[in-house]
Amino acid sequence: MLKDHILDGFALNLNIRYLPYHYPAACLGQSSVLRRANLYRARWIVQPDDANTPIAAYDTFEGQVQVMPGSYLWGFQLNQFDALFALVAAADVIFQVTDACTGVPLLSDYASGAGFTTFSAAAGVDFHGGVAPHLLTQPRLIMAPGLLNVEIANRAVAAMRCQLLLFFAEPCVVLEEKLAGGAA
Amino acid sequence: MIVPCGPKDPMHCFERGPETPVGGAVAVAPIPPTIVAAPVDFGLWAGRGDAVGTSYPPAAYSGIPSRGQGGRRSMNMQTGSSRDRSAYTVPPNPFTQCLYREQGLWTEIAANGGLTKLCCPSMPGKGDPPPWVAMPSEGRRYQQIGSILLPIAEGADNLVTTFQVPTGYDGVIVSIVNMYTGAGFVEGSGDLHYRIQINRRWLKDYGDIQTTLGTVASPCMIYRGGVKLRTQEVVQYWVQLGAGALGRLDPTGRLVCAFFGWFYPQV
Repeated sequence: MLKDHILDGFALNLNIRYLPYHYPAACLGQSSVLRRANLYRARWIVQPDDANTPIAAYDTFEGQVQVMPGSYLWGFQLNQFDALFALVAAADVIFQVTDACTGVPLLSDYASGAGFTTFSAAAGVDFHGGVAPHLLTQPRLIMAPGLLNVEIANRAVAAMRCQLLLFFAEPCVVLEEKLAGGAA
Repeated sequence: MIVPCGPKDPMHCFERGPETPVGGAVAVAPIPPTIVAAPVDFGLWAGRGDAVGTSYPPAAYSGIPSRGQGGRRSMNMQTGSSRDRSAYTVPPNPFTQCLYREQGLWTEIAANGGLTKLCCPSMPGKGDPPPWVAMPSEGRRYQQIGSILLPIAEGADNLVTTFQVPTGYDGVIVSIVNMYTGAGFVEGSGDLHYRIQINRRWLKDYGDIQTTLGTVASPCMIYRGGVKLRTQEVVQYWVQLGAGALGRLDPTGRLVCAFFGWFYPQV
C-alpha cells in the first residue's frame, strides 16, 4: 500500500544523505511507523540537568530519567563543554543508559561520547560532527515504570562538563484523566 | 523494536487476532490500549488535527465525535468553544495502533514472567536471590591479589592487579583491599591514590581512594551490594603516588590490592 511521504524534521534535514546503505536513512526507514503515529509527541531530556555540573576526575555521574511508560527512545547525542561552555571534542566522556525496569543496557558497554557529539574541529557549516542526533537502529520501547538509568563517566584527570541528550517520543495522555485514574 | 503489524499492512494493526500464547498457563486478556479515551484542549495546535489528542480503544473508534464545522481537520478557534472536549480529540491512526500493539505484546510477555522467564528457565525462581546477591551453585569464586614495590615515579598510574571476567560469565565484586605495607603513610594524605577501573571507566566512588581499605586477611566489604561485572570486562586496580610521596614513604614497602567475589553463568 502506498503511503504519503512523511514530512517531518528528518525529511527537511539537508545533512542527511538519503543514499542506499547509509545509516541514518536506514534508521529512519525503521522508524517509519513511529514517525507516522499521530498520538506521540517529542520529548527531549538532558542529563545532567544543568550543563554546569562538573563531573570530577575519575568520577561517574549517575542520574535517572522518567518518561511516560510506552515512550520510545529514538536517538541521543552527547556533548562535552569547556569552562566557557564551548563545544569541545568529547574525548573524555563515556556513557551508558540502562532500562531501570529490565536492567537491560542500551549499549553493550560504555560508549565514548566522541562518536555521538555534534562537535567538529573542521570549520564551515558543512563540516559538522555528523548527523545529529544519533539514531537508534530501531526506536526502543520503554515500558512501565518508564525509568532509565544514565551513567556518564569522566576518564580524564580533571573535572569536565557534558550533557547527554535523549530523544523520546512520548504518548499523549490527558493529565486530568490520568489523575482521575490514579485517584480511583 | 517495532513489531510488524501484520501480513497486510499497518492498516490492519488493530485487528485483533489470536495472540501467540507465551506462557501457557497464565491467561492474559487481549491487549487493551493503556491510554484511555479522554479529551484534551490543545488550542495552540489548532488546525493540525493530527498531532495531539486522545487515544481511543479500537472498539470505540467508530463512535468518536468530530468537530461539527468540517470535522477534525478544521479545528478553528473561531467556530467553536475551545473547551469543547469533542473538538480536540483525535483517534489513534493505524500507526499509533501498531505501537499500541507492540506495547500490548510486551505487557503480555511481562505478565508471563518476562523474557528471562521465557528464555532462561535456569533463572532463580521466585524468592531466590539473584546470582549477584548470593553465589549460585554453578558460580565460581575468585580472589585476585596483587602487589608491587613502591613505584619510583610520582604522578603516574601503576597497575597493581587485574583480571578479566571469563567469557560467558558475569560476576560481582563483593570486597576489595588496597593497602601499603611500609611505614610513613598517613591516611588521606594524598600520598597514595588507588583507583579501580572497569574497562575504560573509573568505578564510581572508587576512582580516587586515598585511604587504606581492608587487609588481605579481612577485606573491605562493598556495602549494600557488590559491583556487578559483565562478561569479558577487564577490572584493574591502579595506584598513583602523590607529589612528594617518595620522600615520606618507606621505599621497601609494598602496595597490595585485591578483589574478591564470584563469577556466575550469564542468565
